[in-house]
Amino acid sequence: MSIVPIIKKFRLGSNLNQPEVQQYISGLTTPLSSAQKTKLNTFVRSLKNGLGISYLSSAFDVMYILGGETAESSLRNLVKNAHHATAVNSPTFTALEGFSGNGTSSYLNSNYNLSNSKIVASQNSVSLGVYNRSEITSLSTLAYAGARKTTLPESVTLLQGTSTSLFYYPNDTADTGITGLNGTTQKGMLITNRISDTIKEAYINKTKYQASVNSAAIAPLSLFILARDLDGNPDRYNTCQLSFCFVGKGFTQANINIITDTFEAYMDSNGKGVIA
Amino acid sequence: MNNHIIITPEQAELIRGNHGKYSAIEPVPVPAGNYIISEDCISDPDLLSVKEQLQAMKRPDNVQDIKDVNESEISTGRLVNHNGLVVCIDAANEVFSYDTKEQSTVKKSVMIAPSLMVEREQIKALTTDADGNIKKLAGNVKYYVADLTEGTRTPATDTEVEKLINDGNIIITNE
Repeated sequence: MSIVPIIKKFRLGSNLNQPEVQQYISGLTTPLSSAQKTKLNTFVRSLKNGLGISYLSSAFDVMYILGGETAESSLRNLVKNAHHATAVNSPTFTALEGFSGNGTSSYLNSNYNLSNSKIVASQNSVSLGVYNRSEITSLSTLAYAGARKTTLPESVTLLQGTSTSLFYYPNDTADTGITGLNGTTQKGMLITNRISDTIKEAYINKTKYQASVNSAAIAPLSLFILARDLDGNPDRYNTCQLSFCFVGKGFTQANINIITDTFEAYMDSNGKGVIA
Repeated sequence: MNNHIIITPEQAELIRGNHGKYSAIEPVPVPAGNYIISEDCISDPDLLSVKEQLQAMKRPDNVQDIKDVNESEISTGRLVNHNGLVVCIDAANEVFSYDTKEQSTVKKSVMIAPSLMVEREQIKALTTDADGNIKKLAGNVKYYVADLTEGTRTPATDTEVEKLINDGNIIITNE
């Protein structure tokens, strides 16, 4: 028996040793390159090791590597074979960078209902994150991702911003904003997070902001990305280019640091990272 | 360019829904009962199955570049983007949008100068007393004159309000 086939087999196995990646690439119409599969595998392994979890589904409900190699793969949920996203009205996809909206009609529908589809996320333990590559220049409020139900009981799970502020709602209805920002300070990893019923948090590239705001019921609406699901209809269409989006349980600062650093390493591996 | 094709409700129904593997078309309702779809849908490889239908809906006279409004770009009869909503401004400088909750076109506001906008309902509520009589017009209106940027409602100066009234740009009716 030649040793060469054994080495090849070993190499193939090492590229695909994360079950999430195996599931993720199965059934793709356009196969991913070996290099991309290796990068995804490294990302998943590093993230799980850093967070101390055996499966992504232990901490996340949905995770989209929007800055993937193909549009098809970038819309797939990396956590499980469910809630794959739909590109509505042709948002622009750029390989290894992400999706951007046209500000008028295009967005992504995650097909993940924040209330009915959740497994690890809950009212008092939730996180919603996006990785934004664009400078936001609009004075109007544009949604990065989320949903808002206005009929009582009102509920909001949302990240949205203007050129000067970032507003964050981890399952609450208070208009809490981080002010004094500019367009470039909202580039990178933006996360809204809640690990208690009384405190809400936001992180901009690992810098923490928080406010005392009680949680509210979770909106029984789909998570929209590059727009907001307002009572079942999209609005606040965003033109930013997003490379990543996830919903998970509430995380500690240390966990947030790991998520941010691990994804930035993936983006940097393609020369597309934007965190200074 | 942010080109969109203006289509009829019947055409919207024809192409609405999921197409390809992970794509969908959801025509956006706009004032006057029509819908718009992004021209980019025609070249989307995942929408190949409806490409011919979309191409057939495009005519030389029904494609518009939908721009974010600013002072110099507002013109009547065109669809524009304002605060994330597609709105239309008519010859009387009234601003219409489609309200997804009401499921109909609604009058949002009235343009009273190139860079100033008064929300119609606010003027009505705050310039009349309980009996419907007009009260302190200039004093009340000035705090509800807004510029076109969301959330920065700047009170107009007395001089600006006086000029708006003298120029006939504020008209109170019994609507």
